[in-house]
Amino acid sequence: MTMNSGCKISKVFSYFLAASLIGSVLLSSVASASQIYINVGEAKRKESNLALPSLNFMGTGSVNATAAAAGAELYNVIKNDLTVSSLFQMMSQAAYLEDVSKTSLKPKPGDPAGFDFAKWKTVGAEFLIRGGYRILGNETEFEGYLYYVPKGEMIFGKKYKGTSSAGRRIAHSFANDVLKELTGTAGPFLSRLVVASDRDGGGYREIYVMDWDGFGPTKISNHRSVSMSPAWSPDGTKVAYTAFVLRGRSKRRNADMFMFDLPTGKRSLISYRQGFNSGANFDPDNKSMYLTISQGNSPNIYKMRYDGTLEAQLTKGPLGAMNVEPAISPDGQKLAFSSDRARSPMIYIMNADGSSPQRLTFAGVFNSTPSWSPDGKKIAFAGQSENNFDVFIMNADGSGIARVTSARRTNGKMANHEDPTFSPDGRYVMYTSNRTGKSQIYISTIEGTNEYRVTNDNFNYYRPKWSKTLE
Amino acid sequence: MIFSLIAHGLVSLAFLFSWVFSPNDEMPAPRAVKVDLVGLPEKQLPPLVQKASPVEEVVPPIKSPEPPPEAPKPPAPKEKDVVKLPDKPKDDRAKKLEAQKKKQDEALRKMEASSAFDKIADDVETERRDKEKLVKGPQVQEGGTSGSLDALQRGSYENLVEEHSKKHWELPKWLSSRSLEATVLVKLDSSGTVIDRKIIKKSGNTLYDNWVLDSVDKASPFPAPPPKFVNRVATEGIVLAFP
Repeated sequence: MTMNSGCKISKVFSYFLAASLIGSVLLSSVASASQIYINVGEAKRKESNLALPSLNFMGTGSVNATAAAAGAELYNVIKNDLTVSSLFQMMSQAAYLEDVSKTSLKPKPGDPAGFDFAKWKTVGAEFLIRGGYRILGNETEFEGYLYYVPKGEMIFGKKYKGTSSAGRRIAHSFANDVLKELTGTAGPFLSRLVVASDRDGGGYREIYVMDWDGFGPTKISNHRSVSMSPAWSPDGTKVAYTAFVLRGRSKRRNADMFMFDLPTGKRSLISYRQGFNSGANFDPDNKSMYLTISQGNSPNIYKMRYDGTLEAQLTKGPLGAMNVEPAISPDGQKLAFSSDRARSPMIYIMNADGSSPQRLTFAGVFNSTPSWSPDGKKIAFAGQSENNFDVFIMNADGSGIARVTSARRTNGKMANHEDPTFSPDGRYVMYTSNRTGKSQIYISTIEGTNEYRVTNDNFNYYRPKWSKTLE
Repeated sequence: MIFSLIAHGLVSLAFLFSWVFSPNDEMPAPRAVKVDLVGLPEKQLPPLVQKASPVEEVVPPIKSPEPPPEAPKPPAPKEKDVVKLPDKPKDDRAKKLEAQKKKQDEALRKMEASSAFDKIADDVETERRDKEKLVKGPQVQEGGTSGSLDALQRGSYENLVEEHSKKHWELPKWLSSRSLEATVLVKLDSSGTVIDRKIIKKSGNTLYDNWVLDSVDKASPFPAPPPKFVNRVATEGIVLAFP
């Protein structure tokens, strides 16, 4: 009996314990739910003030003309790269409180002859770059330091060496390192572009390779005809393009595809099927490419090995429809292309083997030239809404279309922006614009800010392609 | 057990039977089918001989090569119901927030006006409930207004704080490309001034955490909390999640 009642008591007690436990759990969850919780959202992004004073000449004796030119080149290239980067607001040299030529590249008090952080803080600099160079015979040496002024600390410092003609390369390397140190991803300033242009006159269009900033254009074709739609191989050693060339002794011209090997200068004719052999786009496998072949009928997309052997036909009509401008995703899994199978030319996507084609764009009346971001998450294209083309970027599934360009001609009329291509680091997009009356090359961030004009002449440039490697 | 034996036996018998009586002892393999994946008539293709690419010599200068279209572009269809491509984004977030806030304030006023009726309804309801069951243990009852009014007031204050925090939330571009997240607990006094703030979830990047704290400091004073929440905001605080 006693035992029984004792049992009952302990039972009641355990119920009570359980109830109070549940109660306290409930109470605490109520308390946390009542906590005021606010998602602040994306930050406003601002450019940081960068002080980039003149470079110090660190050679012996006085600065001769050669050294001065070398120093100016280093400085100008670094400044241009960092301006295009869109990360910085370049401070005016007039605002500086310190004569850098009288201080070393290192800060006080560690270096008694060094510069004074306080003076850079006063003028509102967030970053300070101090650089110096010397010319030793046929060699250029550059030494650059990046400082974070609010904390008075060095972020990185590095020495670069090269031949006297390597000045631009050294400057681009330093700018790349600045971006790498600050953001974790190197800049694209050693990359190049390939483009078709009429810049050598005669009414011809040839293929040119140049630095991303338009420096040092080199002609790599000489068909004295119309050459077009060049493309980079994944490793940046080859360029495929199409040219209208005469077929043997006949008077007929055909749009044949060529491959040019940059290190050796060797050119080979890789596809000369009747009609169009164009729109080359290299597969990441380094062995094959995608292209459009019309063969007298409707243009369709094929996969072809470098030696010209066809591996597969990836689109099959429908009859009368064009399937052009193949663009393989960076992982080699998906192929974007444009097609007018549904009347208006639109962007489509399918598996790399041609299966499951799917329409991606539904907006506008004419969408063309799809181009993948290096991470495979975005596709840029040229889209026509009213009477002109502009560049747009969307997610790879077709969602989230955002406009990149909207500039007009000086007379207020609409300008065309076409042929987008991503930088190898994915930060920027390059395209052509005819706002000046000529088709010139421009770059902006993928958000459409900080536009930069790459070519500055009176010629036309078509279908620029940014190299896929950072070097 | 026995069934399994029988089943196995049957299967082996079947195999034996088919082997003995099969008219053809070859495996029925499908014959290889040669498929031309490409589907382009071979005869139309010129032979692929690499040496036959004397490109430079076959190309005499020509006066004016007609520039052929890179891809045949059919005329754009003149449909009136075409979906338009988007314009460049404008920052209309602030506008949206403001509109939302206005709406809520409006609702709040209406609710306050009708809260007297609510109170009567509430009182009747509580009386009814009280009659139905006896109160077990202590119960906390707040203020004289209805729960929905509470929620509205709170929502309205949350919007104010969110809007205010956004205004001061700035990151340098070089830092914003890294996807970092930090959470801060902020305690405010009755005027909205920050009395305490600390990171309760670090981003892993000290510079980012510093920018987050800076933005909280810059945002002080925050909007003053409504009297009802003064105590809560000073003791429990507000959690701000960046971004």
